[in-house]
Amino acid sequence: MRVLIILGRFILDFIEEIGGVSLLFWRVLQQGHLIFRNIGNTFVQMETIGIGSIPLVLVTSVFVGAVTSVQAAYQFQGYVPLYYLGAVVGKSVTLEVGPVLTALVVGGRVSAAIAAELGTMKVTEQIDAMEMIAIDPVEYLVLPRIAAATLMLPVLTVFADFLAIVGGMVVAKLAVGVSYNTFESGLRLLFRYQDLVGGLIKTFVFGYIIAFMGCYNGFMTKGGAEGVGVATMRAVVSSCLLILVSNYLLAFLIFRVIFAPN
Amino acid sequence: MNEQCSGPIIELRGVRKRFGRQEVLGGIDLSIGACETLVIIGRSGCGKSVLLKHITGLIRPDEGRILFHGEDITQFGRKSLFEMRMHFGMLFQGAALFDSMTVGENVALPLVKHSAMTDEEIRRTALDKLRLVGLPDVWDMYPAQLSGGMKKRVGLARAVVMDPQVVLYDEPTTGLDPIMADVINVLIRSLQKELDITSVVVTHDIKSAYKVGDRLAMLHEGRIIFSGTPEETARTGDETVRQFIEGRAEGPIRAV
Ligand SMILES: Nc1ncnc2c1ncn2[C@@H]1O[C@H](COP(=O)(O)OP(=O)(O)O)[C@@H](O)[C@H]1O
Ligand SMILES: [Mg+2]
Repeated sequence: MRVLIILGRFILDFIEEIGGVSLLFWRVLQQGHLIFRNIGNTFVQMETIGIGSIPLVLVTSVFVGAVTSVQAAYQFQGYVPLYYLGAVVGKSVTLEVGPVLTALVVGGRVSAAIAAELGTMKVTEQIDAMEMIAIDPVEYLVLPRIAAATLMLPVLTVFADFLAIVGGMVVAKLAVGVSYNTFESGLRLLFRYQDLVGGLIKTFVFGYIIAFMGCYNGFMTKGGAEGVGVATMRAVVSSCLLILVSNYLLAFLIFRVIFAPN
Repeated sequence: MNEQCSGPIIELRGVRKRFGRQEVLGGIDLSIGACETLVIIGRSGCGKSVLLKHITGLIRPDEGRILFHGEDITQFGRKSLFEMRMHFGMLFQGAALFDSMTVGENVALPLVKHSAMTDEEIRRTALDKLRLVGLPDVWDMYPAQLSGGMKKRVGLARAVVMDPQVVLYDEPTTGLDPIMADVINVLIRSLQKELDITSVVVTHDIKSAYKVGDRLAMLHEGRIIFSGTPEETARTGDETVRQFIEGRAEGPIRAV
């Protein structure tokens, strides 16, 4: 009996959550055009989300490229000529590692920051105060953040892809002994523009998810400081999970349907 | 008294609200006259803030009607609600200043967003309101640099910057020292006289209630159980009200 009650409550909470997410999603869609009234705010957010994430992305991508290079060389041993090292690093970085890892590290940083900021505004009644002076919090707070994250994540990913490949290249020379020339011609050999484009299309969606889950959880904050902590944690967990799930769905859509191999 | 000061400006009819299992408002009937200062008293957690948020449409009731100038705001969409709120000012319990903005930007924001004034006019109007609350020199400071009493006064300046018809105060004196509390009480009184506004003050500070109120109403267990002038309140025979205004642990209200 108790199990049923707990299960029932869980299902109700879940439905309520879906309802809340859909409602905010709908309002963002409906009011999307109002972003042009909030360009100033959007630029501020682009700076904090985009420029602010550069050091994190830099370190992450250089090391990820480096480790990809070393691991690939190890797996090639005796089977695949090292000539293909550049090809493998390039492929895995542009298709998968660049977009997803950038989204995950930026997602952790940005969705937490957004949820904490909006959550604090919520519990200190600043959101209500905004409503009271007839300013729509969705228009004023949510739209600029979503627009900024959606635009900046692809930019950060291009940056990350580049750094990861450079990282892989340097490690290939220093640790594996593959010259820059060899690495580069391997890279060129299998490079397809659609890999880069496909990878970048995903990041628009990831950027949206990151800002959206930050805002949604911020708005749902209840209670005081503890509630802000809970909201922040939920924002990070939910945006990371959604990134991983949507990554699969998008990969399927992009590489099995749009750029289908023939 | 001018003409617009006759008849009720806000009416609540059978307003009910529950959160989950907890019934917070159990059928509120209340009329607020134009230009009067109504003080709603009640214990902490009895639903005073929830009641104020119903009047401004921040919370929708489960049942009942809320009329502003005879129009039912529970049926309003976002746009009409925003239009209505232009005539409202609210001082929140913690002042709710935007902490990413300076004091000046906080007070000026409603004008920046909704008026056709030039930057210079906006600045002058906002400064006038800051002067009204006795803080002409804090324009460039951030809320984090202000004391509790100063925050409330800035919040008050922001609440009245659009010259609203109605100002709502959520526990304006709570958490302030007695002298600052009196400063706020005097301000509420003088704003009311100078600007001809309707005020609704929610508080558990009985001294402040007597000082600013034309009329007192008591919210208890989700209902308005009493309403009268300060004199009537002081003479009432209602044991529940007596216990509250005298601040006794024993009586019909179970303290814990
Ligand atoms: N958004 C909400 N969700 C759930 N419960 C709420 C909400 N707002 C207020 N409550 C509950 O309603 C009751 C009255 O709260 P409130 O109006 O803040 O009291 P007060 O009279 O001290 O201002 C409290 O028990 C509070 O927990
Ligand atoms: Mg309250």
